[in-house]
Amino acid sequence: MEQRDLWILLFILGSVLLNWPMLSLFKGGDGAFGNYSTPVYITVVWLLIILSGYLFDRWTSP
Amino acid sequence: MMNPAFALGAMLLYLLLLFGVAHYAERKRDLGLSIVSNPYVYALSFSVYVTAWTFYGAVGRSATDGLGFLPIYLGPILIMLLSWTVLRKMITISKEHRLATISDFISFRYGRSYVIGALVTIAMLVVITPYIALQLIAISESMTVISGPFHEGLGARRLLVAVLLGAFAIIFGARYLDPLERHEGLIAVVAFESVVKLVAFLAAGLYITYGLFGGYGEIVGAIASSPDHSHLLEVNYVSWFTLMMMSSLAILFLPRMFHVMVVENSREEHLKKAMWLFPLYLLLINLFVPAVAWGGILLGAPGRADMWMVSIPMSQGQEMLALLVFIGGTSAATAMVLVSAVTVGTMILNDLEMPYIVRKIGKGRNLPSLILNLKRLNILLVIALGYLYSLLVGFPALVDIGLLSFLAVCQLAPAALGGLYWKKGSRQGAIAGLVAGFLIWAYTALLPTLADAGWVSEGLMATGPFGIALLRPTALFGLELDLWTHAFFWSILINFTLYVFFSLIHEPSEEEKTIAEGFVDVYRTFPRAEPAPVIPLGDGMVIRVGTVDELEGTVARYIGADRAKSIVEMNLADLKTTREGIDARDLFELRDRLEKTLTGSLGPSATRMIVEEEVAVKPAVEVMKETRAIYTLDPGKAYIIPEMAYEVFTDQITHGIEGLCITTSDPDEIRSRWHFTETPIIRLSGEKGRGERYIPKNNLPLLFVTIKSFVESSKNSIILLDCIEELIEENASSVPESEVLDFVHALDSLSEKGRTRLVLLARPEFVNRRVAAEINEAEELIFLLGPISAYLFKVFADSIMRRLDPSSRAMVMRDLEDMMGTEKAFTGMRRPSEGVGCDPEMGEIGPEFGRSGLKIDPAARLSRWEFFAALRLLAKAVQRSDPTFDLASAAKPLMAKYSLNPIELRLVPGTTYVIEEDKPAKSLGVYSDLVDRGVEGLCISRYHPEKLMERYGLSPEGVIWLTQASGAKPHYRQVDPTNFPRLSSMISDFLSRSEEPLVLLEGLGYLITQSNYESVLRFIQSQRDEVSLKKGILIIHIDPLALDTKELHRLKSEMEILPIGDEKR
Repeated sequence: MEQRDLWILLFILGSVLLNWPMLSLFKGGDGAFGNYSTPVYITVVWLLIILSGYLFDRWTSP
Repeated sequence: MMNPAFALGAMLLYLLLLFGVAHYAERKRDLGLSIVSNPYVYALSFSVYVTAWTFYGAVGRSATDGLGFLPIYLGPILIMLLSWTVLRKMITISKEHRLATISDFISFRYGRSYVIGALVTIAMLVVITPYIALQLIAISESMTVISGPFHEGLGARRLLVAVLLGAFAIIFGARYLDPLERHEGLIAVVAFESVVKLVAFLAAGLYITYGLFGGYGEIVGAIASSPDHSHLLEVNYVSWFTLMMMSSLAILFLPRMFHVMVVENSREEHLKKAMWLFPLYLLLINLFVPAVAWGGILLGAPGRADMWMVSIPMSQGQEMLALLVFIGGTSAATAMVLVSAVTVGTMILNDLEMPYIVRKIGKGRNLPSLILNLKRLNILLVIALGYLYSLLVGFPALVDIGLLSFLAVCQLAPAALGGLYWKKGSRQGAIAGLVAGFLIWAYTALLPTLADAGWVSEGLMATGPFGIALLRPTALFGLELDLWTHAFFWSILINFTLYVFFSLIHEPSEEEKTIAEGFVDVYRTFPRAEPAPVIPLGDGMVIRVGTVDELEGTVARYIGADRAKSIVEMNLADLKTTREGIDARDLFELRDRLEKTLTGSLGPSATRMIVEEEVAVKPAVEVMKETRAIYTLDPGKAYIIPEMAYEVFTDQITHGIEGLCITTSDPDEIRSRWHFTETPIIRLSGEKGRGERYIPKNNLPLLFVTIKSFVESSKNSIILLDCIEELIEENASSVPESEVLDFVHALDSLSEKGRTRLVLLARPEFVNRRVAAEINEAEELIFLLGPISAYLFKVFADSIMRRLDPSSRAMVMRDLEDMMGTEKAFTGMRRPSEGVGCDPEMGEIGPEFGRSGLKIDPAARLSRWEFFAALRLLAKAVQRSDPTFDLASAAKPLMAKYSLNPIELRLVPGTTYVIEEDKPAKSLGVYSDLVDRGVEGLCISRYHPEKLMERYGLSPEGVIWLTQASGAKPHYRQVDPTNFPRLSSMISDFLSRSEEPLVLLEGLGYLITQSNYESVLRFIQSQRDEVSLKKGILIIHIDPLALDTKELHRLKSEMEILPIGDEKR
């Protein structure tokens, strides 16, 4: 897989993870994090996006 | 309440600090120690995205919509995942073409369209005015919260802030006309402010979350258990998706974001840091937004929720914290105002004013000063409009301005992204999409927002115009959605549809096609021409003057003499040449670079007009004849016409084609004899004349630049050069041979690009192949015209000899002299003793070698294959003194420069070669490339001639189809695969009548299947002998898997193996 395709895949994956129906799976109340479920889920995806950028920078920068 | 004077003083001190930061950054840059050109400052500058609308407004939005504020930040972080593909492409293109704003970017893509540039600029000005008003209001409102409504009745504080920001933007954003449009002081301030606003937000967030409450848990728990507020933890998925899409597109095309992300990027590598630092920044700055918003609700905080960041600390007696937050909010607002004012001011200059200035303002005016002052006025205008708008409306009417502007900016996406990835995207499509998108945006988003503010009748919203419910702005065609989803859906759908539709029905212009290829295929690596070896001018050579000065003069008119001079000098140094010694190729490169400089300073539309204005000979159309044209000449081709060149030229220009005549004769005589009046004539003469363009014969670079400008400014042109022989021969004694060679090669390349038809009037004796009296298509003029191929050999030989030490060079020169007398390849070049060959200085071979290198007689001629044979002989001579010498690698730069196929270095006349590959793709590729270059070829193939025509552009006349089928079209030549005598006869005929024949035999497996291996082997053996006798070249394709080892070995023993890569043009 080319680098460009990987980023497009990650973009699509991120868009799916941060929209319905994925978000509805983490609706507050009954989840592991109770009322925090949605904010915690969003924060985790957000951190994963930061991590992917960080690793790309680290592995490809001279 | 805080003392108003104290709050105002703190703000002024902070603004002074920003002046200091900007000044420090610029001083460091001047010393060559840039503090801005690093990835961390670049990443921090992205935070100009976080304006007062987001700094204060996110809390307000979270207090009413809960998590609904988040998509505004999630869109950008998702786009960061694509930044290494999309954003990097935008950066590469913008740097390549010096595009300084988003309007320049889009208008340039669509053929430097003035309409598109103006359209985008006006739309952005409309959008940015209320957005700037929002920033000014946010500053004054937050100051009111901490110090009361002191002096704000007349907007005095806003005025003070606006004046200071205007001065700041002019000092650090428009000090001079910078072609790169990079402002280190401004970016240093934006990066500094990003840290200030983050610290302020985190401090307030920590205080409210952990100082006033027991942490996030307590706040969220209380909100979740409150029936009135528990909905804040829920998400409206539809508007969530819409806002995420809107913010994703907006971050790419907001004028200020384009500026910091694209224009201010000093190295593409810096983008990698921004890819994770910017999402991290957004995460941190949003970390406490829900806590502050929901904490405010639980506390029953006073005033508007948008101001809770300041009002909660104030209500708790934390005045210093409130002051810090106020400074943070001011940072968010000022960064946005500064960058937006400079960017939109530049857009107004480049896309609205400059085209007018170029057309209307006379040459006598001091344009650099006028342009710079206009840019400064534009910046003030943008801020002044924002200030005036802020006096007209209040904060409540402005809260939706952020989303409104995001949606307007989204309208640029189809044209901008389509332009980046779709070559067929055309100017008409972009204009249609943009106009429709902005109109629907105004109708479905702006109108309802104005209705909310009481500026438009609510009745229109409720019942639609003229009572037509289907046209209600908030429910177009009955579609009931939230305001933003509804407006986004309709505006983008219609914008995108019209863009695609009109692009499909309107073919882009040639200029658009060229630019589109540059945009879409920006990373495709084209073989770059290596610099030519430097051959210093000898005594008595004419040094050209004027051309570099003319170019510099044009640029100086717009950006000032000093800056123009320094830019020209910098480029000359970069090209490793001088004003006096510049060759044709470097002059063209310099011209392109200076055009880009103008694009950076004045915008693409104005630059296009300047370039058109500067064209010395403007295209014109003659009165059309009603009859049909007698001759058909294809654009992109060169023709040699010995006798009737003027008849053909006149026929073409009186049938709608714009002509340019280049002659040494009297223009008046030509006009009266051939009855044309409008067509421009260039007279090659040192004298000056009125009404016609005179160019000295020895100023070949100027002649070519003039021809090129003419071709570029015409859509359909023909060039007649009636004195090519005179031009070449007379220049042989006055300019270096390499310059004449470069001129002919550049002329050939210009016609090859499909932009023009080149007609050369030349005597048959001057052309190195048989020509008919009428029209002869000509490929690779460097091998066809007089001594040019001998000049080419000289350039190669000089380049190779310069690598040798003096003693080796002396030995090679002696060998070369011997070979000139004995080797057939040198028949076109006489021996030195006969007046031609080596420089007299060669007698004392020494370090002086190279002042003029080999001496070439004007009568010297080398055919194509003689040229390559001569190169091989030269290489052999060099290898005697340097066994490691490799001709292919030594000649590579020059082969690339003159677009020659390296495989020709290996093709020896009289030889039969075999190419081993599964399918004959490479064999046919190499063959078609050589035939394209003018080699006479015969292709014997199993493929149908139509397929060869379609795939490889091979003319059916040069193809023999191996088939047993009957009923083929009569003009297709075909032969039965078992009829070897007939096939042999056809090959023999071709070899006899061609001067330098090339035969490709493909379909060996088919021949064997239809007869037998032994018969085919005998046939090949006989052809090998025939080719050897008649000095042709035979290439045979073999599929190694189709034969057994013994058969393959016997076959290969008859031939030489020709290894090939992708050695095509």
